[in-house]
Amino acid sequence: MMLTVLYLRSRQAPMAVLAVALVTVCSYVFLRWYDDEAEALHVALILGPLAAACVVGAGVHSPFGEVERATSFPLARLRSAHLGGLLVGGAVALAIVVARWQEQDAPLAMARNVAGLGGLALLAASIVGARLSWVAPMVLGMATLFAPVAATPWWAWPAMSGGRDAAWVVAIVLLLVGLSLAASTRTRGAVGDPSA
Amino acid sequence: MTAGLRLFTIETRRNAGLWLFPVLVGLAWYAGHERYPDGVTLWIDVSFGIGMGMVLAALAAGGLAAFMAGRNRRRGMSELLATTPQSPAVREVSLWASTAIWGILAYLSVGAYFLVDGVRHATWGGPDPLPILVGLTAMVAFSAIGYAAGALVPSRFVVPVVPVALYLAQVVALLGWDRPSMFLVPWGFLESGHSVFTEIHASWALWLIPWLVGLAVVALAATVLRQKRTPRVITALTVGMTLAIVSGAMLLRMEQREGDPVPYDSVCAETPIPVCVHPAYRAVLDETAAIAGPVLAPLAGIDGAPQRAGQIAFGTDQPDVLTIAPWSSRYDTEGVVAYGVAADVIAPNRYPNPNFTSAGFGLTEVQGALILWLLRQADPAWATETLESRLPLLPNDVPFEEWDTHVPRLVAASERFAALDPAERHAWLDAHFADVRAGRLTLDDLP
Repeated sequence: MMLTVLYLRSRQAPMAVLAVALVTVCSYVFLRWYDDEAEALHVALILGPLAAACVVGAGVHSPFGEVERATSFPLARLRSAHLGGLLVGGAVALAIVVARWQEQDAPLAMARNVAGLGGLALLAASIVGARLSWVAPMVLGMATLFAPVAATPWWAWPAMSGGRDAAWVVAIVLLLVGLSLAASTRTRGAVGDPSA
Repeated sequence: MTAGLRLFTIETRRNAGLWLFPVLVGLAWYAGHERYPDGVTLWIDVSFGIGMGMVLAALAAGGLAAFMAGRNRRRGMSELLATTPQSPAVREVSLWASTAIWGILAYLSVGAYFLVDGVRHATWGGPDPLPILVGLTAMVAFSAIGYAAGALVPSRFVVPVVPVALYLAQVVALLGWDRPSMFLVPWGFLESGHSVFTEIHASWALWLIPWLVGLAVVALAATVLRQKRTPRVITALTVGMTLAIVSGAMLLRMEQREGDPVPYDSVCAETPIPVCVHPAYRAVLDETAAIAGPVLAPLAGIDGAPQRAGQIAFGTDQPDVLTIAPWSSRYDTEGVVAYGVAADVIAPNRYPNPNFTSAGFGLTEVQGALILWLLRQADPAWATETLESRLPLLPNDVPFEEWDTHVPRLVAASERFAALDPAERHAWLDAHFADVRAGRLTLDDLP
């Protein structure tokens, strides 16, 4: 139990939960503010999950990487529960925010985007380090927001309706790959910042 | 070489911006590669395209600056650096500048690429420095704001939130396009509907630049103040705040989004209802007329029908001119464009919502039938595409699932109308065209 508490504290998990909650509140206020704007929903469906995903990606970082690698206790399950829990919490909270919107299967799209963009952030965290893991989902998310809405390109899956199977496949693959890599590999610093 | 310059050089070389440079370039290119109509490259589009590069690149530059701002703290170097003789202002500004320079370099590299493209292909106007300068200043300001956020809020979660927050702040200011706050946002200026019909809104750009510079100075001064309060830093903070407040107030007082109109003489195609474009779009006149001309041809001489079809400047009111955009295969297929022309001439009031959203969107059945008739007589393939693509032809109170039930009636009515004697059809349209456009007729009124 103590190990779990220490693990979560080293990842600033309470702060991550708070940040995801803040993202949820901001998404709710944003959508209420622009109640009738379809464009606002489009923005919220990408920006909310993007922010949540970036927070989860940043949560991978540990200041005790060396010490953890020297322990005999397997951390994979703890990491999976921590990161998976944050993603599930974020997906459910954000899906509830858009539950009353039926357009584009909004709740499904929200949950899918948290999963897919979160997976991408975790994948990036394994490659370039947790502190710069936001770059990959940010690039995809922002490019998607700029993509034409009428004819969504194949790569802009976060902009697709929540009922599109292909977008779900991409999101789930990203989630599984990202989560398994983040859970199994050692924590590393960011590129260009070796001590991070 | 002075110590400050040497520090800047070292910081620039050993900066995460070096790693993110390709990302910054990609984002600037993606946001700026404007979709021109085929065959038409205008300098005004090139200039604004360069400026637009900042919309995405500045977000990443802000995140990068926030990341770099926390570097000394992450490495536990803050106290050690505080004992060095170099002033905190030089250290902070040097680190910020060496980070911002990567974003600026990315922005300028993409800008140079677009400029070369403009030199090779542009057919109208000349490069305009104002949108480019607005974009450049925004890169600086967003980077400084990101740096301040990263330096002042010591949390790992601040860095990824900075780009999202910067984007959200702009979207909140812009959504709806009718709030004074839109004038505060560089994206607002860069997306303000620039065209060859109007001058660039120079005063908007000229107040935006000091506003953004003021924000950057305030952000950097606040970062330095955290470590040391010197008269010079307090002066910089005061000057920055004054600059931001004065220019922000001037921006919030603005009302006009577009610049003044630029007079021009249209070039027209010889179609029954002339199809005209701005001379800058001469290269696509034939393609535009090949779609709009046949669709509108049966309406020539009809009382209340447009006398001309073509481009008119946004916001100008010319009731006898049907507004159409120059043809471009990058926007839509020929059939969709033809549908737009037919729908615009038959049902000009189908968008009761001033924001052109689908709320309240609607056509009457007569309008739907006549749109089909106009398309079929111009090119049957366009009518077929309209039906297959399920482009709007029905009143908005008809559920989408009932499309297949209602549309055959429209098709039958349009075929019945097409089978009429041309003189009889012309006479009926002459008598009822205003009622058709106003949506006052039912399908039973159609002969």
